[in-house]
Amino acid sequence: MTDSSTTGAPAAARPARSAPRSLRIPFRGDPLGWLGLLLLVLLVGVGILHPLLPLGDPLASVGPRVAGPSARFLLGTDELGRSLLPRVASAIGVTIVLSAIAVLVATVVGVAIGCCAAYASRRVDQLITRVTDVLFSFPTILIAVLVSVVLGPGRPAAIVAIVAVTLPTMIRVARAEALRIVELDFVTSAEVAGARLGWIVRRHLLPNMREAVIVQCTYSISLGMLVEGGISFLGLGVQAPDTSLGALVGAGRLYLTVAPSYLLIPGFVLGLAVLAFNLVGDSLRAQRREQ
Amino acid sequence: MAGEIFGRARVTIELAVLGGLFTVVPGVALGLLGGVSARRRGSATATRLVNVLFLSLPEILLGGLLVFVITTYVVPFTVGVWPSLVDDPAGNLAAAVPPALVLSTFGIGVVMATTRRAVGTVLDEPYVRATEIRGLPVLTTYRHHLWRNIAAPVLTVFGIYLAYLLGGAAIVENLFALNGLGSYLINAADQRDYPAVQGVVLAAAAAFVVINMLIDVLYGVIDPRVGRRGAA
Repeated sequence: MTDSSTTGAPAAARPARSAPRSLRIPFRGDPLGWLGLLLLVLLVGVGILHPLLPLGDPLASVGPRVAGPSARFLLGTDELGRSLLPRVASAIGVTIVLSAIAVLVATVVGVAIGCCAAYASRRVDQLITRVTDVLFSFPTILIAVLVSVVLGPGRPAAIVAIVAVTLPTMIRVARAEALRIVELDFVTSAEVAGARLGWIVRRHLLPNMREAVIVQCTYSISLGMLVEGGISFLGLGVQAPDTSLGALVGAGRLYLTVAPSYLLIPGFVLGLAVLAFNLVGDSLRAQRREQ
Repeated sequence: MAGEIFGRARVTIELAVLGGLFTVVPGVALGLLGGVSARRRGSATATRLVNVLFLSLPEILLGGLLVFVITTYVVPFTVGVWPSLVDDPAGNLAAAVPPALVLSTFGIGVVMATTRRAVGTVLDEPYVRATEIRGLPVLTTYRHHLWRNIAAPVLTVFGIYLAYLLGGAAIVENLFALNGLGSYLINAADQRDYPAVQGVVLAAAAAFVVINMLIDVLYGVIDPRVGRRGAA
């Protein structure tokens, strides 16, 4: 969550750039934050390291079709007799990574636009705000479906859909923070001293926006995973043989009466992943408010 | 196409109204409870956990679970049929309540969070502290100061959520095999039927505008200052 400058020694060496205190010791005395972090590390670890774990081949047909959990196949098998344990593990990775990439894009673009809005003329700022409002007012799934129709189903469509859904809120947060910081005395004094705009943005604006943006990122990633789950469930996102948690739930729903675990297990894992990011975000936000 | 959209809109509107009801009542209740008890550390943590759980429950998990339970066990709800509300109100509700419940979970989380924060802000205000110091009963304070002050932000997020529900709940309609605007959108997208997609988008946009207008009018009712500023 935090970069290397937040861990002790480098921060002490460069006090001017050290991270805000709340991010240096995350979740002090907050069990919910720790629970979220634990879940998050576990799920991201499994999602990324699954090829190294002894789970089996996610693409090999090894067992009976659509079977419930058994001693040999802990999570059961799918309609082609593939073991669901490695499939769910790789799907966790796909879902989290797709959402994280999309949110990274949304963050960079959102922060850039937010900073622009703070420094641009009133008219440009209003235009940005209005466009954001319009985007914000569209139901998420509607945006996702439109993107998928235009781009055709697949990973890129899933990423663009998540960006489209999370960008408006990110712009709002970044703009509000930038507007607040620009009014502060140290920014004014830097301006009076003749500092260049780029320097002010790098030195004052971005470091002070960081906390709020990171909190928003965690919420965006969890929302992104829900969106990915939804559109892949509908068959508009990730396509076979590639898989994601939403795609697994979508496939499992066809066999709901035969093996309910096929739908419920990936769905539950998706819920856990969303919960993990939400808990971390909520804990960070609660700490920001306490200060 | 207009006929198709209006016919399907009936399902979507009923789901949205029911889902909105299931959202606002528990959302506000839980938010009030959480906000009022936030000063104790243990209950604050419990409130946050409940709130985050509502925000984290995927529609596809809860919906799938409900469909499984309804199709496997004997319960007073149905899947796959949609009797008319006028001819068979009980049968209609039996079909509409489960999807509406699924639609409401995320909304409960959003409304609860907003209510909680609004309550927290109001209770920290000096005029609320003043009523405490004067020794007024807590409920009197809540009645005089809390309601009006939290109504505006709660109404705003509720309006956005309702408009979002009216835009067609594609996933839930798909899961429960309902013929609403959402499933129409998905079918249209599947068959590259662009005019139909545009039609649904238009309907969703219209719903959004209408809801926002109603909310704006309600602001005036809750807070007289709004109307005066608008007239000036």
